[in-house]
Amino acid sequence: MNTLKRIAVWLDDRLHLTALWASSAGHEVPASSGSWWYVFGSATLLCFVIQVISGACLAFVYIPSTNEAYTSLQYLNHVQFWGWYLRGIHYWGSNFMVAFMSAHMIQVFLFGAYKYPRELTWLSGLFLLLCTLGMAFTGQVMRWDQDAYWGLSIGAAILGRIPLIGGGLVHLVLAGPIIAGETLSRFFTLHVFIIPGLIIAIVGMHLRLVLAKGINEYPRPGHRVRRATYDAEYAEIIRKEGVPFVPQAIDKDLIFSAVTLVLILLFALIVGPKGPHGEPNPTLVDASPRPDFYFLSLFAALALLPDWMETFVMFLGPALAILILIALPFVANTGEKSASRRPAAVLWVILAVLTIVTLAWFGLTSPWSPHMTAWSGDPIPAVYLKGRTPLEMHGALVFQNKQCRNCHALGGVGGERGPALDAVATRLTAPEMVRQVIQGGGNMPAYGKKLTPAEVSALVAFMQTLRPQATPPSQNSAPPENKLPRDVAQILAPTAPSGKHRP
Amino acid sequence: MDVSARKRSFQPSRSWIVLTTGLLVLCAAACDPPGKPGPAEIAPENIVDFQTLYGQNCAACHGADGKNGPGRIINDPLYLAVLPRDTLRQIIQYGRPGTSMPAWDQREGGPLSPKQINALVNGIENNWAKPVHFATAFPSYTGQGTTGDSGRGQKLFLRDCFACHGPGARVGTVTGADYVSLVTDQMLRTSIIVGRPDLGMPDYRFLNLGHVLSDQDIADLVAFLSSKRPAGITAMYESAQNRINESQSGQQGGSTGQHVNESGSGQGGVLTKGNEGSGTGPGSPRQQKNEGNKSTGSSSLGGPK
Repeated sequence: MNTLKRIAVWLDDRLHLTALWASSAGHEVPASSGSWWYVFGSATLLCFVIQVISGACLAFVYIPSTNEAYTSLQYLNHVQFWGWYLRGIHYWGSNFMVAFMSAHMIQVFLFGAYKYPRELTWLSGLFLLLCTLGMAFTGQVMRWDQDAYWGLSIGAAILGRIPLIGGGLVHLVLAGPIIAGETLSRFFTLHVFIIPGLIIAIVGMHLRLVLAKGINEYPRPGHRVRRATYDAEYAEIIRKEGVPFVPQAIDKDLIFSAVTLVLILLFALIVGPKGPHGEPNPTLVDASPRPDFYFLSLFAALALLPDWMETFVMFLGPALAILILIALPFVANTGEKSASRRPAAVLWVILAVLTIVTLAWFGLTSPWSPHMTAWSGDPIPAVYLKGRTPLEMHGALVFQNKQCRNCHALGGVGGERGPALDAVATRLTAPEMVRQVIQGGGNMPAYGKKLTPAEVSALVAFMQTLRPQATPPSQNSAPPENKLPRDVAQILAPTAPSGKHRP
Repeated sequence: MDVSARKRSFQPSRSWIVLTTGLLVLCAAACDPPGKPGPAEIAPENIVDFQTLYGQNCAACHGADGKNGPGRIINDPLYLAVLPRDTLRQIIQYGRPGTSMPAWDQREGGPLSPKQINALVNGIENNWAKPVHFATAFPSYTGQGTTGDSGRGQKLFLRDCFACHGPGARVGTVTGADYVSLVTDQMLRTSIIVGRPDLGMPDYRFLNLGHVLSDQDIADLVAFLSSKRPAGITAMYESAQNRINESQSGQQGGSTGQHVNESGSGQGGVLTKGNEGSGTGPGSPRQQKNEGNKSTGSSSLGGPK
């Protein structure tokens, strides 16, 4: 016993463990900061630790080569004892890490914690966020499936648009002109060595700053931060109501971290890992890649942007956002901290969250994307075929064969790119349909050259039946003599088409 | 009082812990957690399950269960009895050029491999073909060798079809230029022979109120309808079919012949029009063909090895 004690004392003498404990775990924090609002930072750190441990375990099996990456993930999913669970933990750990990091950032913003004297704490946190998103993107590439391949392609295509250096950057990121074996090695190195190393370093700095500048006190409305007086005020708060972080203020962090851990383990158990979805084979045209949820909003934004503002928004958008976040602690350096006195800050948070969530929802459903298999896989509801004439039935065939269904839903099934056509006859008259089919317009391509006159007639005859039973069909409101423009009448008239219309 | 009582009721907690832990361990050992990934995704080109293939590629036009779609009913014993197996394969492989039936063979620009087309042919035959007992012989599928008389066809049309397909009649006309431009003679012929049992159109046995339409009757009806088709379109259909026949004879010794042997329909590897007709010509009993299917049914179900 005595020997053990002597060893402990010797170690403490050499390593200054007691002093380290007193200055870190034992440092005094304002009692008011022992709040449920302050738990997200520690939860994010816990997620990172889980990611490091589960990632290291995965690296024992994962082979970062284009030939074997996909196979080694299949091995983890199906052969390795509970390997799928390990993948699940790593996947859900990353989801929770991004989610809690966002919650932490919002809390810090709303509590004014970025203000004097904690500007660098905010900045280091911002870089941690960027690193985490970098981990998320490179991690998605590790899955080396269709999502990974196309995600990478889109990333490279965005980089390639940068003027002057774009091509060189793509070459640098992909380790060559195309996505190949070296690309995977490069992203493996980033995901496993470089970015985690950076994160560990910046987390160290982040925590050091929290210790040096003290944790933000719970903001009180009316208490304004002034550069001249704040340090003395904070020292006074610590003197009056300071409590050691361990054990007084850490309890809620521990409880929340435990809940986080249980949640990650449960989600991994119940929902499991993601993918891998389909081999990364660019020749498979029926791939429908989607990014992980943290990039869904970006995916949707890029898909919905008009062409002319793409390049503009792609580079200025993120650059501007990052610049604003960097400038924030210096611009709003002093003043009110409490959210109840900063309505603009609250509105900004609501706006940002609503934008991201809405875009992510669009990214998930991606209504702009045609359903490429609808024309051959989604049957026409039988009720739309009951009692139809042979020509109308044939129009339904043309409807499927020309892949109208890929963009237009019937009976709630099919693409959402164009309007659903269940009641199209109540909106368009037959001549209007003919014009729309032949000339296109309103985001629809022209099908005039892809359809014979007979096919157009059949198609329009079918679509004229698409209306609720009790609702009359749409009628032309123009005067009768203008009802059919002559050329449309010619198209509709059952005259003999010449053979040249056929392929 | 109440609270402490409830607390006390939890006192025998050791048995609770043992029970819960035991259940959890049992559950973990016995059942797969819902998060465990299912079987690995099959690459699209390796799918040979009939239901999946049919659902992904055919159901949109031919109906979810082979019927009630806008396209030809497939889930119909009579149709499958009349249709030679090789023609079924040929239609899937090459489609019906100029019509809404596209080619599905990879060599023709479609998505399906020969293995998958084989699975579709076998699946259709094994799931939907049933022995049909008829008093009389079938009409042949193509009607090769019978020349139709359009004038007689018109009379037959007025007698047998007019009630439903006359102008303003219940079902709707089939003599309009648009309709006959969209269908080939073969499609007309098949429609007359098999009808649309799912939609209420009777087959060739009942169109003439109890009198079976003869091969000649059907050919005459087709000739009449065909005469309504604008010039040029018939020639287009014929040239497209000729192109298929040529590319067929080019591949005759290759994989196509092999599949025919696998399927065991015993009709040889020649798929040209003329041979189809003679394969299941008038009078060839369906029972024979079905027995042939049955004997190879189990081996064809599993698909090619």
